[in-house]
Amino acid sequence: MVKYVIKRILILIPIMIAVSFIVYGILYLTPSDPARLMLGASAPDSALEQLREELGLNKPFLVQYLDYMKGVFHGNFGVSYRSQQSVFLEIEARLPVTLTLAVSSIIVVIIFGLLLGIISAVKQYKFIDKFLTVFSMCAASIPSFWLGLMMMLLFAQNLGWLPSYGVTDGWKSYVMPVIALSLPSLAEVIRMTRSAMLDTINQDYIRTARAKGLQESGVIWKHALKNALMPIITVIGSNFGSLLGGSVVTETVFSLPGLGNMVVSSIRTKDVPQVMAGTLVIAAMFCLILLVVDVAYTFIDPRVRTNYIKEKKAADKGTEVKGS
Amino acid sequence: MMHWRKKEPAIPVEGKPNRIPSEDEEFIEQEKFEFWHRFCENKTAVLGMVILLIIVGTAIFAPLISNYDIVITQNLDIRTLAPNSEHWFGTDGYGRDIFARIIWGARTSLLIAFATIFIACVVGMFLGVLCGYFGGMIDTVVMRIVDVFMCLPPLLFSLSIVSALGNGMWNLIMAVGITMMPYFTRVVRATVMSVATMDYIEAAKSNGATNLHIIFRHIIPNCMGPIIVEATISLSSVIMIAAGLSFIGLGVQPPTPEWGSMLSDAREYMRKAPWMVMAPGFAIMLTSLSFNLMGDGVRDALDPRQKK
Repeated sequence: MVKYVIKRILILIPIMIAVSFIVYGILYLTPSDPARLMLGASAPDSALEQLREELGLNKPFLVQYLDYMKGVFHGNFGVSYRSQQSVFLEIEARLPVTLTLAVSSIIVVIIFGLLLGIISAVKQYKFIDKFLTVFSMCAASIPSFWLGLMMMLLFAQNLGWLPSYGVTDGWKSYVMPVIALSLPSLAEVIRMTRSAMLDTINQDYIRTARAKGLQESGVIWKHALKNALMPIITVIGSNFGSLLGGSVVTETVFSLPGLGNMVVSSIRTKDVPQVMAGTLVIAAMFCLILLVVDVAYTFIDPRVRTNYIKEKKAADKGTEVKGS
Repeated sequence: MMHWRKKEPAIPVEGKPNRIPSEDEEFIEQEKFEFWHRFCENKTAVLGMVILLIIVGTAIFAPLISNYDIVITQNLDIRTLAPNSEHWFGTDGYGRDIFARIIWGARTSLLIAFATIFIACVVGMFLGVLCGYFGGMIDTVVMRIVDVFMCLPPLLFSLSIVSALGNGMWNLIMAVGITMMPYFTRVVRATVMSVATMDYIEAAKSNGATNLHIIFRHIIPNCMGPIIVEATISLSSVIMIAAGLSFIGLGVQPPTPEWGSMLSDAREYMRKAPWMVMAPGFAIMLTSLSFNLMGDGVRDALDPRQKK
């Protein structure tokens, strides 16, 4: 079990390196001249050439990438072309905003998604189920940035309850972004929970549990939910990715000083190291979540655990056979 | 596994025009009819199809409804007008009729959506067949790369590709197409692997059919079902990603009418002209809703076992 987790964490390292290689490769193609950006339009050619040499921009692609990765392993994510400071300073300042946004959104998604999905499944074909089905269909189709703008019109402009941009008002400034960001994912989790619960509710062991006189709430929450949880967790994990990606747009709508906002404005100013660092940090968060989901499987479903042990035993036997 | 076509269609032979339809052909006709019948039983899916047909119709007949000139020509005398009888949805910050821009925006959005899915389908199909049919080293290498691609949140991945390629509609299409490609590759690979073990593939091989023949005549037709499902379901997320990128200014550039970039223009005038925000977002929602409804219907009709 512990071995499985450790193995899974070790796999993360090559994946992260591959992700960084792809991101670096894509952004390497960005047409920009950092030397020109740093020195201004009137700089003489000799100074430009010298700076390029200093930054290592004349080296081949692979050498540049290796140099960059060497820096990353030493905690140096590069220097911003714009501010001429380490890009890490900017990321450090902005990471909490994005984390707050993404984590509170995923909490909203998990709590309300499971709750509403279960209600929908238990009350199948009743009014509330039909209402929730229509609601989740519509919610999945609303673009989050439009929802954000509409909420801004209503709650900030007309009613004046919430601030329309920035993070100066504490938790109040996060209310609208979290709703806008979480609604599409919430819709998906409701639908998945409903269908997974319906699958399990009709199983024999649920009938047995009811027949032996367990309370209905116990049957639903303990027996049914536990067995329905696997596909739900998969959907929640992949939706965390869309939340992280969506945060880029949501942060732009509400002018939140988060990572996504930084990436977008850095793309506009062609500040490649800043874009790279931001993208890598967001990708790393997503990879970590995928890892957590994988590990969560083994906790929830004993079958995954035993499968792993079986595979391992088979593999051990295989090597033994080969050895003898 | 889904059986889009259970048996191969007979090849129309030249010089034999008055051929009697074989049993196979009748069977396929019956299958298609059954699919259509099952799809039509699903009322919400039909609703989605009707909405989509209206949107597609609007896109095709846009020149009949309004002139492209008024979509791009700026007229500052009539800027930020509220909705009235002449300008149904009002005018934007440059005095352009919002209704006309929504109509023409349907063209842009649908073109982006379908072109993106086309790219993702073709590339995904190529890689998926390559991996699923031949297996071995190619399979391992390509699938590992696909796994890595899937470790990047889709919108962020598109964003970085757009930043490398530059703004513009075709770059946007390329970027989102590459982003969606891994999902198609996975679906195709899984289907190909299950089809490749079928008896008729074995039979074709023992008849001496070449790999190319087997792939084009047997494998790909049998993969069409899952691909169509994946494509219909992906269309809605493609619409969202493309609109989102245009909204943050990295997709379709003005003055081309596009719903996402119209929303981003409207943001500046939110205080003065809140109605500008309504129509483009509603258009995106309606399109995405129609794809979502249809996607569910197509999935249920092609594979009744999955029906919930």
